[in-house]
Amino acid sequence: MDSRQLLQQYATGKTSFQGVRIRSADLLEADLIGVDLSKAELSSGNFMLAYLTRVDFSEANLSHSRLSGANLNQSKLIRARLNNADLHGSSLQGADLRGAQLTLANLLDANLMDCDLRNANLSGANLSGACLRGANLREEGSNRSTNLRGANLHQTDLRGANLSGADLARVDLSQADLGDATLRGADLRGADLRGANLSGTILTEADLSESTLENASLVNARLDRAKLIGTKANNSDFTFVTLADANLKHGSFVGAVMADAKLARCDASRADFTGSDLQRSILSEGYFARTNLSQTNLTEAVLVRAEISSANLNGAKLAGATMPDGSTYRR
Amino acid sequence: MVPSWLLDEVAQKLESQAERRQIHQLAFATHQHRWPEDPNLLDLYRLRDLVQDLTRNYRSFEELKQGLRRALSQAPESKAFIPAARTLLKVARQAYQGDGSAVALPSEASLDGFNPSDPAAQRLSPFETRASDATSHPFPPLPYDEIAATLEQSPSATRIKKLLYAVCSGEWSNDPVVLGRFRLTNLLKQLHKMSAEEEALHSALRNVVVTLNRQMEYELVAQLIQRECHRLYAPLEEVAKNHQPDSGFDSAPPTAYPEEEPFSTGPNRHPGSGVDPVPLGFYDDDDAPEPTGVLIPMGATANQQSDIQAENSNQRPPYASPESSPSQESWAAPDYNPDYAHSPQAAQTAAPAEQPARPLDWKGLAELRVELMRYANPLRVKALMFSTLYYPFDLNSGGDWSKLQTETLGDLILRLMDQFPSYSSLDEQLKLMACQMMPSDEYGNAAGAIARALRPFYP
Repeated sequence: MDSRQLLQQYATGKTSFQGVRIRSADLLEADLIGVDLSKAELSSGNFMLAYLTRVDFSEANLSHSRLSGANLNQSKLIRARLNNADLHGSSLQGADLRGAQLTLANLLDANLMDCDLRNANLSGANLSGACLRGANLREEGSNRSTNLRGANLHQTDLRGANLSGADLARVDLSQADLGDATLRGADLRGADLRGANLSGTILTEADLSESTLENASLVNARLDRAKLIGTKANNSDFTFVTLADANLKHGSFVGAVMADAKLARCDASRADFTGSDLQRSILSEGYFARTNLSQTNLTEAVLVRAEISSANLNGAKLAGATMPDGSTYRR
Repeated sequence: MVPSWLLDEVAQKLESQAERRQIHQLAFATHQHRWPEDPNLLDLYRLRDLVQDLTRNYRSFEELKQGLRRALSQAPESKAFIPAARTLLKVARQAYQGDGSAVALPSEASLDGFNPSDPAAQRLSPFETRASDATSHPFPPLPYDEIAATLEQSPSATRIKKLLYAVCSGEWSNDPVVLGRFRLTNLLKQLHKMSAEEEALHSALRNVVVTLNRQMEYELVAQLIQRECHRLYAPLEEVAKNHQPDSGFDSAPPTAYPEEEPFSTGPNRHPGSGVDPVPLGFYDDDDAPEPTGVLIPMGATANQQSDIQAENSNQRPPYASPESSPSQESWAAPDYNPDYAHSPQAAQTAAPAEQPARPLDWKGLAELRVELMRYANPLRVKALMFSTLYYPFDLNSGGDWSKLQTETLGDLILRLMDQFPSYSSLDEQLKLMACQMMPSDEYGNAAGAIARALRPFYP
């Protein structure tokens, strides 16, 4: 079958084309709304600006296809092969992409709102400027989490997305919007989160070690038991953040705003908080061995049973702070 | 606190050493109590700032020695850093007085209370002694013109001007008309006047840069400005040596620039602070929201004033400043006209628009993108924006595709708003272009979606 025959048969009312083989199909701006192309062989085809809403592409091979500007809203792409596909400016709102192979796909400025991307492989994909609001990228099963390793998520809109357990190690998420997203247990080691919005984001038990969070906003984020070993978070906003039991060893939080943050039982040994604002923060039972707290504002902070004997508190403001022995600092 | 000229001197000497990298690493390790694992980490810390912090943290020379010793003991290869430690101590010693305590500025907190007869103060840079009058000093003229000429040669000249304008006015503008009203020389003078010390200059630039999306690019621009402006803060002897007395600079009243509008005080000035706080927020560079306050042209005729008011009425919304200051005189430019600033025209000009437009900050941009993606085809939206900005996009041209790949939808939105400061002209151009593209109904839909989505961001 060729492209023309497909369009002719569709025009006569046929919608089931399961398993068809059309190599290098030319379906530019074609209207194939609602057809069943599951298990079809359609690699290297041209579907640019095509109308493909509610099309069933499950297990179809669309690798190396041109799907720029295609409208794939509510389409089924379960386990579809979309490796190296060009989906620049495409619309996939509400599409089912569970287990889809999107390795090295170009999803620049693609609309992926409310997509189901569980177990999808997006490694090396370009998601710059893409909108993944409300998308589901949650880890499913023990071994097959959504893979975003090496993906470009610069300025990507992931607001409210579920990325629990996702592999985002060394991913470029600079200036990305992850507000209210769920990243519980996600692997964000070495990720670039500079200028990212993580306000209200759930990062419980996430691993952010060696990541860069400079100038990021983490207001109200939940980071209980998260790992931030060697994380660089200078000038970031951690207001009202929860970092209870978190590991902040060797982290750099110079000039960070951590007012009203909850850091109880955290391990911040050898971390650098120079000039940071820790007003009213809860640091009870925290471990601050050789931590640099110089020039910090610890006004009214709670340091009950915190280990600060070897911390550098030069120039720190402690007025009204509750000291490790329970006394209130006055001067 | 060690005076800035002395810090500069120490930092310069250290920078000129062969083992400067090791010195930088050692200064970092002494200050941060850890050795930099990431080689790029050092780039974030200027040696001068580290030296300054060291002199703050280690109040006596002996304490500094102890600090260095501690850092050396934890060095991966401590022997390799011994020459660096020796040089650092030798050079840094001058920042400490005979009794070992750090050299302090006698009245750094207030330059107004500066006593010129104080021998320590006599070593201040010419600007420091005359913070209140940068343009009429008996010292060799300051090289604003030279610096401006150098900066104008830079490929980033436009960004330099935008950044200087933002620092001086507390507002961001991408409007070439607005920027064209100001000479770089005068912006430099204003910046110098605002930043009594080099550190203040650094902070002033930094405060704006951190609010931009393209921080990396503007960080480089800020560094370039700082590098060039360094000579404004150099010790007196250096200034005298580097500048010819007959350069004529500033010896005469500033040359009038036909369309120039010296700064008046907008509503967001913070007099006397040296550095004006620029409200933090995510705003882009070329893409930043339009100014909050309105710059009032000096000596503008009634017609000019009304033109400017009219133009400002087309500007995108004011950037909501958390504070404003009623007292403005101390910030005024050399030819500041207080009569005008307090005149009814000024009050009228600075008043917020009746229907303030939504500021296009980072969140606004994200919402805008969502809105466009929800109601139009993202690729067609991009193609239409591209065509409106540059030339009609050709689906069959590989070059056009490549160009479209280099700009995100967000970039194009910001560029579009930059190019079309008024909503009516934007709407008109979009419709016009959509009619010329096929299928025109699809592009017409895209034009409508863009116009609707952008409407709240225009007054």
